[in-house]
Amino acid sequence: MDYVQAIVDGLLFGAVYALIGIGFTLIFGVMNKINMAYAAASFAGAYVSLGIAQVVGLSGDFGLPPFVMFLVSAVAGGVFAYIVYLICFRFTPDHYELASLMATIGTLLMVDEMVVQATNGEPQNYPEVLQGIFDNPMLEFSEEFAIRGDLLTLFIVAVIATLGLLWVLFRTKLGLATRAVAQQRMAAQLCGIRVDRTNATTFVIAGVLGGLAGAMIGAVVGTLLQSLVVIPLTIKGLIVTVIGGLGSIPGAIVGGLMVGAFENVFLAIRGVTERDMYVMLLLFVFLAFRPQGLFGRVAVRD
Amino acid sequence: MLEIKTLSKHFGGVRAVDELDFTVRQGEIFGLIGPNGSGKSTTVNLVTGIFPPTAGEIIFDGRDITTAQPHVTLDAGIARTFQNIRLFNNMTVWENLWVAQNSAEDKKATNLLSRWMGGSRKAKSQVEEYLEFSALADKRDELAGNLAFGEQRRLEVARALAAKPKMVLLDEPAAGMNREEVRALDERLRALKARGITVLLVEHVMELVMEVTDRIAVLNFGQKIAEGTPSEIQNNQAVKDAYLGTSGD
Amino acid sequence: MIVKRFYLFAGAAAVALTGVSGTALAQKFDREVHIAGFGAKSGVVRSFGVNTEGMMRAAADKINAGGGIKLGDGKMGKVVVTFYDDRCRAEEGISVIRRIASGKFVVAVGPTCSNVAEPLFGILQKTVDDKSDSGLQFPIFTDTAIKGGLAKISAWAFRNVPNETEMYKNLFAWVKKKWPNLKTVYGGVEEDFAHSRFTWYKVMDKQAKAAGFKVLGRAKWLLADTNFTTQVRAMKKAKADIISISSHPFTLCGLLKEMRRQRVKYKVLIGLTSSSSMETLQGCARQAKGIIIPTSFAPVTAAAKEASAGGAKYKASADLHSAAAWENMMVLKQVMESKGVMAKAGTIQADRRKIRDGLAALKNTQGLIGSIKRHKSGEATKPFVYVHAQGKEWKILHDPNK
Repeated sequence: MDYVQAIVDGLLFGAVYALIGIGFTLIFGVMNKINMAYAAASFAGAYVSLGIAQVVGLSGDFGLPPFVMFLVSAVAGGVFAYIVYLICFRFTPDHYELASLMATIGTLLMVDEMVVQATNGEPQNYPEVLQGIFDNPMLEFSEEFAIRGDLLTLFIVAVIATLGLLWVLFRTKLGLATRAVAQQRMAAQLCGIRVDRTNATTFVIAGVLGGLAGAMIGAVVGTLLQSLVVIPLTIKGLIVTVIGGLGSIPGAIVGGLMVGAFENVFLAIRGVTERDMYVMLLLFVFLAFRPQGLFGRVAVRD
Repeated sequence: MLEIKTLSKHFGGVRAVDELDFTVRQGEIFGLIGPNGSGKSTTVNLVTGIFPPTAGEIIFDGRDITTAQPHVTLDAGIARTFQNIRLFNNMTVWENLWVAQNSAEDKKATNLLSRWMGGSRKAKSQVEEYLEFSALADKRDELAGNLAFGEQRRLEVARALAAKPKMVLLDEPAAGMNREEVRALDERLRALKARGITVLLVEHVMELVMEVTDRIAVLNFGQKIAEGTPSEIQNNQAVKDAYLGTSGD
Repeated sequence: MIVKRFYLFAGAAAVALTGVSGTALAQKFDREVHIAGFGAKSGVVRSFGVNTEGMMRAAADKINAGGGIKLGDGKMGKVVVTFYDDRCRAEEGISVIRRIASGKFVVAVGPTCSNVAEPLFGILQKTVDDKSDSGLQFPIFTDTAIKGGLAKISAWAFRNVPNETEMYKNLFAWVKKKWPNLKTVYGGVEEDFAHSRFTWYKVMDKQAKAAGFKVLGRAKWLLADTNFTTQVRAMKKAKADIISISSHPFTLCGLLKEMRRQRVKYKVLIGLTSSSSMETLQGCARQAKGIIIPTSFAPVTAAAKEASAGGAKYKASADLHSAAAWENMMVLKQVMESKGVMAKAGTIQADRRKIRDGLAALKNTQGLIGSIKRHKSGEATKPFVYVHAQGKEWKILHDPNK
């Protein structure tokens, strides 16, 4: 029965990995480039929300309710994403393929270090998801199996965010433009779509999702610790994106849930030291046998 | 309408377009022909601003668009189709047209949301019109990638139209079409002319070119070797040499 | 005219003032005594390094305010503290100590982490005057690294850390007496941290059994872990009366939060000495309520309160580890004066030897909450009290000395 619990917990937490994966894959889909600084900008957003809450609050208590903090984090994530877009994509030379990749890696390292300086490398408490509303709610089905209230809330929020994104993509002209640029960049230009504006907007949307994901991870774990969060989640996000297929949103969703469940099951079976090893093994299996991922794009672009 | 003056494009040592000179008059159907590699597609790319020329000028409707980028040329009123079809394959026929629907009305929309989100009913009804024009109304919800070849070509032309251009550049629209489809294309080109849209037609299918164009320019090795009416071109020795000298179409 | 005179006057005043203050400083101290501090200033245990540094600086301020250290030739020496980050890693610690030893420092206080202390002591000379031993001849006076029995590794290593065996033996016996119907214990241990690991297996487990409790099992995790679901589920099933957790504030809080989530029931909660710090209360005051920890520091005497206040100026909080750093500074002053340390560029190695010999000869030192006994092994026996978490502070639960 422990396996069921581990899988369910993992799936619920995997929703956050899915959000991060969606962010990576969105940007790859539209610009054919990987934004290595994505998770960093997202967590910077979470730290900003924390900073504001600490300033507003009195003596250690959080001055803002959790959902407001999520909102602040999402907005901050969007802002940082836009800055990353400007620095690493808009103003880097187009003909030098590696320029933007190098720039994003540099930005990742810089933001990581900035967070260390700002927090002195210490773990920062983050309010729990339902703090102030419920006190550690658990849906207990039996002695062997229970669903954590905060994990469930996290999952629901992630689902809502994803649905929101899909609505934007498929029901608005902005989303249409984004999909057009992703499919045929030149033709989109010739249809009058401002590609750089579309890309910037895509970045901001991805950043908003990322900021939300960062805040939720902080809320569920209870602390934000830079060394556990920035680079490890960049790597996990990339793994999810690769497993799901670069450029595919359904792939990122499935990939995220998969990695979450996988990780948690192996945590339960083999313990913390080996857990990451098995996630890497999963990645390796995919790279070896299905490198395009679950839903990898088949069409070749011009 | 369109003036090309001593236009040149060099790619390294290769002179894709070499001091090209011709003028397309408003409302006419102008043909651009020549053997493979003579610089026809490059010329179209230069006009629409995909890349800038090495030398020369491009004047459209009195405006200098020599170094203008694609969205600027589109604003100026030029639309184009591609040699290898570049439809948005994962979108429906309707959506493909809707993307191109960039009417002046939309641009002036004071409500930002409307610009990004909805689009007016008028704009949407215009898409219907284009669907009718290219006889694709019954395929409106089909994914563009699933259409038959001829239908895809029609969609491409329709998409170019949706931008409400003053001039359309068609890059080998008849390629791979059978007799019937070519005839249908012929009719549609005339319909465009009737609406007052200027057409620059890059083509290899000679019957179509000779039938439908008002004037023709012939390119070889990036240079213009002849210009005139279809009958003049047919009897031009230099043109015959060019086509016989190379492997032709 | 008036302007010119004003500038002349101002200039003269400025010169006079600098002259006065300059000579005043020069008159106060003749030379500088350099003391190094080193510990973890990055990562999960960063707060320990920060606190130690703060307390060392506060102690230096107090010493200097009282005139400084009286040197061997009657002159006064100003205490100057320099602190280094060893990142709680053995290689860093060793490289840091080598750097310190090649400089002008006469003694070092540190390290924070037991996994640094152990190999570090190993590179020191084992026995004094052993010509065949090329180990480092540099005295180290440890404030924090607490894993049992390390000082005997070298004659140059001294520690002012509490004896956990003593503390937990006492605590479990007291618990048994106070709540006689409690029978079982379940443990929790940070497996990858030398201190916590040693303290569970060699101290808590052993002493719990010695006091007559049955140890039902223990949960395991790593220093930087954040997910405790599996471990807590096993803990809940065990239904023990007492839960004894050997881990530092970061994972302690994570574990306690999970225990609360899964509604684990217990009668008594016991923690690791190092977790009797502000960090625990800042991280999880609610979940940690009532946790009992034996500690060798609490602000119960005037001296202890003074040290607390001093550290606060440097944003350091006083707990059993950082307060030991303060105690170390005071002891070093005492030793340097009694041995006549010279603090000259040419006497550095001689000074180091004097300090080592002085520390080795000590039988007692004055601690902040009572007298500390020193042993030939280089270890100390410190007085201790039990504190328990009550909201935003640690309150004294029981003083076994009374």
